[in-house]
Amino acid sequence: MINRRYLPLLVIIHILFSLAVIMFSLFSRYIIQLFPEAVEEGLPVLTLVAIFSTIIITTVEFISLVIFKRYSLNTTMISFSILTNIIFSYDVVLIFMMWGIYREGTAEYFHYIINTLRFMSFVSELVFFYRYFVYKYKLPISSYEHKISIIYIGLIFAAYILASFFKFDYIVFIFLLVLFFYWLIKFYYMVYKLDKFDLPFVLMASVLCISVTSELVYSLARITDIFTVHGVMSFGAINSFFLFFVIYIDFMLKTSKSAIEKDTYERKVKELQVNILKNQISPHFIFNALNVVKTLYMTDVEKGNIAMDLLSKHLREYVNAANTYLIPFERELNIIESYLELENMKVITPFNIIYNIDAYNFQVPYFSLQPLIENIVRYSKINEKEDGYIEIDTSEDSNSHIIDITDNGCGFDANNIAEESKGIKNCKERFEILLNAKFIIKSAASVGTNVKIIIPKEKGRIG
Amino acid sequence: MKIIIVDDEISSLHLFLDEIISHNKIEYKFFKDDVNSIIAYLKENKVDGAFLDINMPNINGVDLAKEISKESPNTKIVFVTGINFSIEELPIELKESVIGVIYKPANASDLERYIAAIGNEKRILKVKTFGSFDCFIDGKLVKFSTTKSKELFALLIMMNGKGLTMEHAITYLWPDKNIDKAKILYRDAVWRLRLILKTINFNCVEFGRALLVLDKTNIECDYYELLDGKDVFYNGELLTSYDWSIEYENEIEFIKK
Repeated sequence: MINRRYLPLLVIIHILFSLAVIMFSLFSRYIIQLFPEAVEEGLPVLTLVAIFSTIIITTVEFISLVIFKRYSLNTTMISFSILTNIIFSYDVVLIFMMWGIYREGTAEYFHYIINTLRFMSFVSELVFFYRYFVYKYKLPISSYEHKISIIYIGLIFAAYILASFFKFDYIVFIFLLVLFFYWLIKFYYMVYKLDKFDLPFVLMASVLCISVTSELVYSLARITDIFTVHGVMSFGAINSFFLFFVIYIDFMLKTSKSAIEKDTYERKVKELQVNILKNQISPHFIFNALNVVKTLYMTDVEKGNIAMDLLSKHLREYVNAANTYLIPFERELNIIESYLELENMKVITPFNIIYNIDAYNFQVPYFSLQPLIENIVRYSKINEKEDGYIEIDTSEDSNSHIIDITDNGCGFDANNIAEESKGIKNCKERFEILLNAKFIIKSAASVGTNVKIIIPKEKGRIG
Repeated sequence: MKIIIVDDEISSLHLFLDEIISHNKIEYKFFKDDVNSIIAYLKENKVDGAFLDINMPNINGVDLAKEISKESPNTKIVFVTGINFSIEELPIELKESVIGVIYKPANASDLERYIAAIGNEKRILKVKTFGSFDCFIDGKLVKFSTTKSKELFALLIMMNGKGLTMEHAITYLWPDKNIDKAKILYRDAVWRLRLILKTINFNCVEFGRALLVLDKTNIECDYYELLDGKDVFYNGELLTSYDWSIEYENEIEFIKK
């Protein structure tokens, strides 16, 4: 657990800011009494700062949403929700009062609309926080839990609308309290268990904490006179500040060199995997093999059975290949064996293969040796030679496993492999990318070919 | 022994029929994927084994296995399937009942193996050393992919449980090859022996570094019986076609006297 070090930070920020919001709400009336002028001038300014900084972040996020699409939908919506949340707060009412829009006659409706809109934005904030945490941290939430959570949020919203109509907001307050504990503790625990506790998470959780506490204070203020709501939303400025950091860190992480490298690496491996499958399951191979099976069944049923078993074993390995990158070397050898046996059933003089296996506890890419053997079978003509052979040697030294595939066939020009065989190029690349292995081909006309693959031990380890 | 076979396609039952008909001890019944009649049959009969397809229209084979093991926990279950499936993916409650998976197209030796396992028969490797060397398992001849891997196994049998070192094997099997070439051929033979034992699923050799050790339990061999003092017919020929057999022939002559 590397990221445990952020836990104290999370706890401190949560306690600090929820206390700050509550204290501010409790004592703001005394502050107003002490410095009436400063508050009258200062608070709206602070709220305006919060609004403007959130507007900037929302705009930036919106632009990045247009450019990067899938990455920033949730953060955009969160910052947008925070923005509307601040806009429809009592502090803005103060500003409206200053400007003279808010008058006695319209106060009742104005009050009601502003309250509802503010709470709506709060709910959408919760929804997108939920989405953000679930998708970004890949939380193991079942579809059932997912539904329940969404219904829960909807219920809270409905309760709030009813409550504000009948002026029973404290019901919502209780709901909110439960929600607060349920969500926060559950999510924090999940993220903590998954060991994904990072700085963006701590900051994002703090934004959530401040939002929820502000909303709590708003609800409390409706029940008792102890709490006041003036100036509470100026904490939105802190919120937008945190949000900015989260987005900035996220952006840096996503666009950092290693992340891009990892992304291209994965894409490359996938592409190679797809190519190998395309190359290997050629209709040519399948129908040829089926032809062999058919012919054998007509001449020798027992042999036909053997060929059928080999072919189905081989095809099964192909089908499995779609989901696997690395397999134990021993399994790859089995693939080679079934392939060679099948080939040997077609030809009059069989291919002679020698397994000089001294080490086998390591991994190789799926279907990575098979194209090499296939190439030998197709082009080397070793079965036409008196003493022709393929030899597969494996050995190990202190830091690597070595595979050596030799044949004494007709050989080819090693510089022309790119055009000669896509299969060999593909398996060379997969050895290099997946295992960081060295892949050396030496070939000379009428002497034979040698392929040496050196796999670092820490990469090829099984398990 | 009673077994049931469940598959929705009649064609896949033919192989079973071919195989099972030769066993006179087996009572068998085929079912389509109709759960009720299967359960009803289980209620009335003590069924030892069940071969189940997995992809069936009316019920999934795994669900059917759950029903079966609920109804009769002692029935051993084998899946016969075309899809890629491994026992590790099974739910825990089935881990005890399910003894294996046969992939389609199924081959006779797999079937034979699981039928033996259902009947709790000990699998015995029968080894014939008098005359020419041959091994039999599940009533079938074991096919070695090369003559040298067969010869190596013969030598290992003759070692009678003692470890066979690489040097020993090379001096017996490849006396005229130079040492480097012989080592390569030795490893090739060892690897092939390993593959063969894996194919017949009979793990009787411990493959160490340059050392092979045979586990004699579950091996029936005429040579061992003779050593135990049993009266076995011996016509004077042992491991024909192997040059080194003369040493053991002399030993047997000595014991006989």
